[in-house]
Amino acid sequence: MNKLIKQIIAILLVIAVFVLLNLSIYKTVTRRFIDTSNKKVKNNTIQLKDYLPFDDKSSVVKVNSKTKITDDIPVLDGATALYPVFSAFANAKYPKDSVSFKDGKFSEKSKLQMNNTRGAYKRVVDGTSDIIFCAQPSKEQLEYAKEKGATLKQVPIGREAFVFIVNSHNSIDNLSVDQIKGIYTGKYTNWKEVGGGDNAIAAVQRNAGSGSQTAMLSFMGKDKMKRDINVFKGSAIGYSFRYYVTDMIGNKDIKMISLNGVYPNEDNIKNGKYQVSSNFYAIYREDNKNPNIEKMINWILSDEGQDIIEKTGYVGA
Amino acid sequence: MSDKVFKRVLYGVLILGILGTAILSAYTIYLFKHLSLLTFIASEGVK
Repeated sequence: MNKLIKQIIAILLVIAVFVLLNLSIYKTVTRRFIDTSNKKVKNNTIQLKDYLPFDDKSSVVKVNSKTKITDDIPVLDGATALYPVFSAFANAKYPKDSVSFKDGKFSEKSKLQMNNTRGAYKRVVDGTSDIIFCAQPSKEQLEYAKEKGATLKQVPIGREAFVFIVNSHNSIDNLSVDQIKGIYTGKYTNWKEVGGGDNAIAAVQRNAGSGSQTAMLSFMGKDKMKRDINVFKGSAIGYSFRYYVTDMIGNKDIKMISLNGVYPNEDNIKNGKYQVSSNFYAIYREDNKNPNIEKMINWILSDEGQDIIEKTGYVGA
Repeated sequence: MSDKVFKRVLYGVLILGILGTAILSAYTIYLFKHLSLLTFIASEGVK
């Protein structure tokens, strides 16, 4: 009997160890990531249908160009943050039946696609998209292009501020460039070290190859980022492009912070006071024979195209 | 129970425990890789 009791206790102990282990993993780590998918938060994320061309209910900037492209229509693609811009280009220049959207995505034959930065770079190199609209390519994207024998031409068509974001409950409203670099190199690991409350800093990064990750690497320069310090605990800081954060997401639970005392509003970007801004580009393969690629890019650089960019909320080239 | 049965039960529990932990870890890594940065920060609610 004693032996049986001891055996049962041993088994129960092993079960208890695993239950406790998995509960603590779930409570400290998993649950935090599950919280990011709740309905309320999802409602404030980008929806492709909100910026569809040729749609009366859509928020896309509607400009009717004097000339349309009806043959050899270049396939447009690009970064999520720039989707409202290139969707507006399609709305202005393309015939209505060139774009087809069903069940939350563009069909394969649609001349407007949205595959985000990584997908768009792959597609322009592979030849399935003709012109993509993105931030500058990452090292890996350039290597992929070289591997495939593709030379990419990058034409700057506008500028956008690169911004840093925290939860709106975070007491921090401003950080210096050195402080942000210090956070991402691991020099600062608690908000109190940079003027905030006593809480760990979760310095969250984007995926390699995304537009904002490439821009962040450029911002950091020679300083090496430590991957995801304290991401499982603490209060997060992240980064993105201003338009994506304000107009596309408009989530009141996040806020942009000032950099060196300058807030990234439109005026400060236009007058150059907010110093961290980057070009975004129209990118295409140099050997793409589509005669309308250059016509399209020349139009984008014209008053009509630049007007669309400014009305969408970005700064023109 | 006999020693043989006990060992089998114990190994069974150990395997199930390790498998469960591995599944939870894999699921957590999957969620992390598909993390939306902005929604992660928005859902935080921490001062």
